[in-house]
Amino acid sequence: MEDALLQAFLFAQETAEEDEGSLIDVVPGLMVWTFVTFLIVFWVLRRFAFGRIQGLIDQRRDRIREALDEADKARSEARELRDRIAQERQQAKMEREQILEDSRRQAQRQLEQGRERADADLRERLEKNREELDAENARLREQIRRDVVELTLLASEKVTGKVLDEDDQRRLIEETIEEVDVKRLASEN
Amino acid sequence: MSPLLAAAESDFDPQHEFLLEEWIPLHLGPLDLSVNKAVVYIWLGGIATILLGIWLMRFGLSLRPDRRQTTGEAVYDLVQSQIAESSIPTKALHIWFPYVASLFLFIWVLNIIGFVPLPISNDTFDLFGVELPTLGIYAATANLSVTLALALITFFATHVEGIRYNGPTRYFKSWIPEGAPKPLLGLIVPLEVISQFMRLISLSVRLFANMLAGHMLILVMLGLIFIFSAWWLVPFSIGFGTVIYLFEVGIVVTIQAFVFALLSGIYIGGAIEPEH
Repeated sequence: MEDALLQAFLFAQETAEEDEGSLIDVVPGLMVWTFVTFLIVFWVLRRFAFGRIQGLIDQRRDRIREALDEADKARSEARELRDRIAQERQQAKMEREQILEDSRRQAQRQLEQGRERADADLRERLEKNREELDAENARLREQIRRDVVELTLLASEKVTGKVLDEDDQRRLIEETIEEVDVKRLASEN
Repeated sequence: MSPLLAAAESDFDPQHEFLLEEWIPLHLGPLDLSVNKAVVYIWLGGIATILLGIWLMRFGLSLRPDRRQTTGEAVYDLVQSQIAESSIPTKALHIWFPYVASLFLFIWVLNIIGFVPLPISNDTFDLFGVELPTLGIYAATANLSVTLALALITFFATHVEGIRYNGPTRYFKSWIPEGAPKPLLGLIVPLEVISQFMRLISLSVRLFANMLAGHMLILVMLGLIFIFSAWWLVPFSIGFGTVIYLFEVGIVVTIQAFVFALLSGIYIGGAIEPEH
């Protein structure tokens, strides 16, 4: 390539020497045309081309920056939302566990209360039954006692053949009651 | 030897493509502004650059780009990130980014047009009695005056911005390397001044010589057929010529435009902030 350049330069020199120097001689008129044409090109491109495309590139850059900002914002919001959801889930889980615990505790309490109520009721019923039984026993004992007295009085009157007065009846009743095991009779009945 | 080739041999002269004949005479005092092939190519390049820039970067733009807009944005981004932002300080980008971008596009279009066969030529041929210009390839950037004019804009912009941002004293002091021994200043200062002008030469000659070399190689490859007057050379000449053509169009055209714009940015950026 260097040889070619050298040859080109020598050729240009030869041409200059032989043909009125049209290659390496400086031609002011051609320089002026070059200068003027380039200045026109420069002015037109600067005025009508570069500014426009630079404006568009700036606009696109702004759009991309905005889009990136929006994407960052969206990502940030999504992250916040995810955190909030995770927090709410955690809270919901805690609340659920709390509710379950409360329910369990309440059920336990209700169970205990029910058991206590049932026990109390049972005790009350047993007590009532016992009282009723005692009352029935007392009534029966009194009934037996009355029957025994009547039978005793009746038997005594049959044996003695006379009607017993009031003092004799009382004495006889007391003696009979003392001798007869009323409890045993009641239990046998 | 074929009579056709023999006739062509006497006509073949690759230098002929680079001659600038005066087409429309135009003189402004001592200044010769006559229109010639190079001027037409510059105009064509200017119009094509404007149309290309506006087509790619202005009409029908939307936030969802199509293929055309994507190409425009890619070009814009290439110049912005690879040329302007890497060479020009941020504080001066709003002024000098459009400059290096325009420079890149303008040179690229001029280079590309230089490889498109166009009927802009000194020669004509007869077609059914009508004289038509022959197709030819010519690059305006293969002319030193064109590249020098562009390099001069960068050269003046560099020093004007250097003085504007730093003041003349600080700017010109920045040319001298820090810690340079005082006894050597008499040698260093002229060298530094010369180096500033060498930038101008290197910037302009690099582009000019590369484009000229590319065109010359292609013309010489095709010219071998006429020089040796042999038909059997046709496949080789056209084959090599095509390879060089594709290499020039595919790589050199863009690289040279890129380098010119990048160096312009570096020179201007370096003048604005000499410490970097």
